[in-house]
Amino acid sequence: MASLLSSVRAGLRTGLPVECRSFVTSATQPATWTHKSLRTGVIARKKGMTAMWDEWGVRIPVTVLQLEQCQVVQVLNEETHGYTALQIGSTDRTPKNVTMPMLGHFAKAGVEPKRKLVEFEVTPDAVLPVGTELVASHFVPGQFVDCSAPTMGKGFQGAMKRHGFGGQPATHGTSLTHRSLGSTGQRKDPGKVFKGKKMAGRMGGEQATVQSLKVMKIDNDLNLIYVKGAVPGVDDQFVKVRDAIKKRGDKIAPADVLPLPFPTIQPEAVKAMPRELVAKTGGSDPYVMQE
Amino acid sequence: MFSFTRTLGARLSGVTARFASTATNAAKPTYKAPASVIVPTQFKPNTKGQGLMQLIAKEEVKRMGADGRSKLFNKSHPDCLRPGDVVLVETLNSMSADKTSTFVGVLIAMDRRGLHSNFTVRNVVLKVGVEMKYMLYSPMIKSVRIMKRGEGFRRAKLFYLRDNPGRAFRLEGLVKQDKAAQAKKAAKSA
Repeated sequence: MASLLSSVRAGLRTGLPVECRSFVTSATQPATWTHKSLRTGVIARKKGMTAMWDEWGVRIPVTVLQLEQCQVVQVLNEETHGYTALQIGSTDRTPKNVTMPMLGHFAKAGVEPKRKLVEFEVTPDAVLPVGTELVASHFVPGQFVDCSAPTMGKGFQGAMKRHGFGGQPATHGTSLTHRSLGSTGQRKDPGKVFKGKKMAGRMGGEQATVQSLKVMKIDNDLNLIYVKGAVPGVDDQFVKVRDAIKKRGDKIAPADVLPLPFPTIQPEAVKAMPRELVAKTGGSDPYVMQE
Repeated sequence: MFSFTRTLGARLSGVTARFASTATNAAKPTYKAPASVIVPTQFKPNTKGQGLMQLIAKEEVKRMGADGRSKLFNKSHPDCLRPGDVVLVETLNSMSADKTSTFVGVLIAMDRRGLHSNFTVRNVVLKVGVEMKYMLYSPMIKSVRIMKRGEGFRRAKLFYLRDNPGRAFRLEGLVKQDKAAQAKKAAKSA
């Protein structure tokens, strides 16, 4: 494990043992980004929401996402697995609570046992060595990201809440049927209810992706990403954060922050940055009437 | 009374304290913020004794309240706002120009919510009741001045003034007095 360590990182932000972590070293030449490249995403934890004011004085709601010991645990390649991907692990766990098979899996990678494992499909040029830690500066302020997480569970819900059905009138003789489905089909033909008919049932707890959320702020000391808007799910939930797929190429971020760190940010570059960096909204002043 | 300066984002020289690398200084990368990125006032995070969200909220209050506007909501401070005070709020029309708008009225509600603290000011303008809600830490607020202390208000929220205003919104005299006082002050200092 010590052999994976390439540079001493003083001022540990996470406060946890440094032996198990390694970075993309400066010796390893970072691959060059092409328009077909796809970098890895990260696993973050949704910590809550707050607000900030941008340079125009507009109040912006933001969600705080924290990266907790986010490391590459396994590299999946074309020859062995049939596709190229990185298995990312997040949040260390005490080994006594981890099953033996999983302990072996993490030992092979030389990382601490993790709570959450997620695969991110990448292009071969974006592959990172096992043990590489992903930090908040993997994303730059001003870029767009997609956030995926299970939605908040709503329990057993009726069709009106679950599918937006209209229900029946409140008055004019309607008896005991104000919020029901209504009709579920035709008559003798087809003589059945089709599969997938929208009905009452359990709502929520499914994965949802919110696309093209702007990264408003990066905190290098606490490994925080502030994204504009809301992210699905409850606080302390694991959230998959990726570069926005609908904003490829030059549209992903403002021109002066491009290119994005590829395949991920160098540790020396992170050390040189100030703790917090805030994105500008850009454009023209919204409080000034445009001619 | 305070007035708010719009200069944000001074880069702390304490950034150099984070360079503790054992590598030589020969090819140390430096960071220059691009035009689309702001480097705000930096603080040293202290997570001891409080959760993450409490910490970042406190830091943001410190950053946005650097001009001392937190005292307006601090009960132990003599300059604290109280429901019933007649206040004059000066707001910037936009961040790109220095033009301001002024609103005078009775403070009818104060909500203490940390960074999201806000207050509501009510006045009757041209026979129309107008309420303005201001976020305390908004950069668009230039100054908040107490023109007259409220007397005899025994509630935290004075929403009853919407139906029973009494003489609470007869503020023209106060405004005139205040304008004269301000003009005198300006003439004196000039």
